[in-house]
Amino acid sequence: MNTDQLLCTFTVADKSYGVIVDNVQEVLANHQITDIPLAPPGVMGLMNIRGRIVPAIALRKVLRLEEKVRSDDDDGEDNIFNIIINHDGEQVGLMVDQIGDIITINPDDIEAPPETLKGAARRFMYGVFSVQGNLHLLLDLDTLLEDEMCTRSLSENTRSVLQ
Amino acid sequence: MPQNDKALQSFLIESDENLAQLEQDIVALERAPDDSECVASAFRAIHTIKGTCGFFGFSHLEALTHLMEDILGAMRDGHLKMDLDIAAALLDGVDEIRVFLKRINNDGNDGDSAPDALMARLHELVPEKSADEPAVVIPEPEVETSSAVTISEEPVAEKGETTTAAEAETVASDLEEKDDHPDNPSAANPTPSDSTVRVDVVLLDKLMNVVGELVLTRNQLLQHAASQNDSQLVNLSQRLNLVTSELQEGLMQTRMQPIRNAWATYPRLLRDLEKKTGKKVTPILKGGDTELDRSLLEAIRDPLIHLVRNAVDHGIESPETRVAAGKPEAGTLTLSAYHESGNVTVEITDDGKGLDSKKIIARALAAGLLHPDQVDSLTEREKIRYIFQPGFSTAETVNDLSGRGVGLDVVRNNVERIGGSIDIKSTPGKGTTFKLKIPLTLAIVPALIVRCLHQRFAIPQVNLLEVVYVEADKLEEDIQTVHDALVYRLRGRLLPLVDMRSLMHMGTPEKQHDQFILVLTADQQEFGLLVDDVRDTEEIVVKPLGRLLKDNPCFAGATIMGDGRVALILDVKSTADFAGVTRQDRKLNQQAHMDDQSHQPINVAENFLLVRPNEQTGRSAISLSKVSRLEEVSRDLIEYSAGREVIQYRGKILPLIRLGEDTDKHDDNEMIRIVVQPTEFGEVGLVVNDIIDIVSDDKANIEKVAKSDGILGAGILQGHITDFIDSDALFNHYRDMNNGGRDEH
Repeated sequence: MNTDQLLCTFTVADKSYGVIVDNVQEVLANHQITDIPLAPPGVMGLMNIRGRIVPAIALRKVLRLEEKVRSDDDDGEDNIFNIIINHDGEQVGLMVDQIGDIITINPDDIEAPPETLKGAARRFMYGVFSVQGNLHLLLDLDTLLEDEMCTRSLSENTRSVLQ
Repeated sequence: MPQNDKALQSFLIESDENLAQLEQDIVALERAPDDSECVASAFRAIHTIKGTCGFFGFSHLEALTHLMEDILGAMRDGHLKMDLDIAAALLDGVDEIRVFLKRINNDGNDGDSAPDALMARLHELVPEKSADEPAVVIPEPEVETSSAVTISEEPVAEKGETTTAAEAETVASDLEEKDDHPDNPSAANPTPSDSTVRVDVVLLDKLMNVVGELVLTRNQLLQHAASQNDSQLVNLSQRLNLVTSELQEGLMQTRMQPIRNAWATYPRLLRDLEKKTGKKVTPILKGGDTELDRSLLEAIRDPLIHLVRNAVDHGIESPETRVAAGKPEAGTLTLSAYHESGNVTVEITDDGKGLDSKKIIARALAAGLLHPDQVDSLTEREKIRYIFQPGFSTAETVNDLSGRGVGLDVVRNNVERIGGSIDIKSTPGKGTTFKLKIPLTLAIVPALIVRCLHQRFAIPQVNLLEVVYVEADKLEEDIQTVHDALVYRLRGRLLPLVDMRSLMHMGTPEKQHDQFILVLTADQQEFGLLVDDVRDTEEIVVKPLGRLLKDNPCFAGATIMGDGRVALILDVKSTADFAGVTRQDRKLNQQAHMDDQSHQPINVAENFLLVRPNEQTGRSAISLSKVSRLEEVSRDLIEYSAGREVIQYRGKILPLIRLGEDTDKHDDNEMIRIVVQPTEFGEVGLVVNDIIDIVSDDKANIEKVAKSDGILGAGILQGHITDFIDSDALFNHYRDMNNGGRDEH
């Protein structure tokens, strides 16, 4: 039984990605983020979403993409979008550059990631699908959020430095 | 079958409660065998368990409960009287039922039959006669089945048929069919569970969160409404405000439970302790209705039990010793709970032998917990507190009551983890009191909001001792480095310092500016935390950080500030551990001992309060140990008694002493500064013109310069000639003048 699946697409560092829409609670633009000292490198900070404390994940860091370059000609007012995901009873925000469309896709059209796809990010890929000839990577949130970029606090490194 | 699972779960929960009741009743009956209400209550409890066993088909458990029911039934009908043997057998039965329940919870069935020895022992206790007699059975009424508050009459011997109201409607109606005597008089005593509902805690927690969000939305709406010129909107938002507050309060109430619930097991516990130690204990429980959040109640359950064991084991003496000491044979163990300034205080008091501070110190020295040089500077209270140190146990022999390697440090840790504190008072020969202060709820804590660089943090008040302000140009001078560790000399003591910025990798500021040192305590370890600014104290709502951040080294949670932004809550103990303060402090102290007299020894320097006594004279120093408080009062509060200046102070008359002549230019609204000092005649206030500083000095050479009453001599402090005030002489002088030379008596 192949029911069509709704996917939410977005871009990070000019690459296109998608997550299954069932997990998405909402999308917020430029939400206030509070730094967390000593937090895992992939966790940018905490957001207050209607009284709930939600961590914001820097997808760039976790996907090992290059840092955002701030060119002089842009006004430095780039929007940051947060896709709020319900994951295992908790909420997390995925920080992305642009929000795309909600698209419908037949699960059969999702292919396994090509062998040529390399790099640390490969293990976060559930599959590949294409929208109007444009390839999107479907993210596997379970592996993504269990990555050490998201879970390992700086504490261990710091401790050795202090001693 | 989920339906059945649910029923089974509720059977387990109810049986647990019934067992607790049964246990209490048996112990009570052991003391007062004629209490018929107690017998009836015990019988009801066991009957309920037995009946439900039949419903689920737990035949082994049913056989055991059936025997126990027979015994209690015979007791109720007057054929049997509770004695020590019966009580012991029944309590063993209770323990066995618990084993069964555990097994049922794990495996879903009741496994093997109860041990033969126990069954035989119980069987012997059942009087022959009772087995044939009909018994009036009162099933425990239940919420879901209010129709089940009924009485059924049936032969006790009839196995397996009896069911109780513990189940769903089907069971209840089944019961009703059998029931021909709804007007049985014993039914006139409905239990409180008639009007209560059992609710899953998870649901309550969820509701709590939703209400939290509602509160936040309300706050924003109120702010918005205030800025609009719309009276209708303001009115509506005000109403929403009230309703929300009420809702929040009500929901908080649902999580509250009386502390009595945690005490329910104590009668049995004490009974067992009595049997094992041969001591006699009379428990007194006060304030069992005092309520606190159920998660806190859960958290203090074990610490309390430990303290009760401890009191019986180490506190209360054997009957012979007590009689010899002129005390009643049975010791008294008082548990009391009450509300006090936003906290719940629980006290555990025994009238035993009290704590021997000499022994404690000897033990602490032997265990290497403190250095011999430190002993003299300890107060009695500090000495006693060493029993809370890890690695300390006063039990001379290891037995199975206490002294099992789990010491009072664990109790203290558990209490402090939930934001509580533990204190101890002891009078040798009179007894010991442990005083636990527990916050009402975990969700809301008072905290100090501080700033470090651009970020705000919340520091729980319970960890905060004091705040010290250090000016930018004094930073270099006041904050020193000893063996790569930052230290601050706080009243002659070296306080290890942690710089929040470097600890948190927050970068360094562009230039030096004023700093605040938060003197924090965790685990009896004091340290200073350097922050940039101190804001305000606030009641903050603690929110969890979530899975991703659970292993972060310094934070206990986060909270949402009034402006909607998130602030992190510092976990003081983990921060201390993370910064390595404990290790550092030990090193510092070792160093101090090694350095010995050649350098400034720690704890020897005396602290002085620097004052300017009046406008003409220079500086004077008063030993800080002779100062109890500093006060500032308006000059017009000065009154006169027998021609001397006095003020009313804390409900008493405080005589004032002036060091110099009072200047003539009076302004009634002017504030005068008073150094309150304790003397053997009560407190006396020393009027000074100005309070300059608190300094610490260990080598001030005091020279006698001029004979003057109340002046010890002069020396150099902070580069100025300073008079050292001899407080005692001053008071004697004052008193003599007051008495006009007459003899006091």
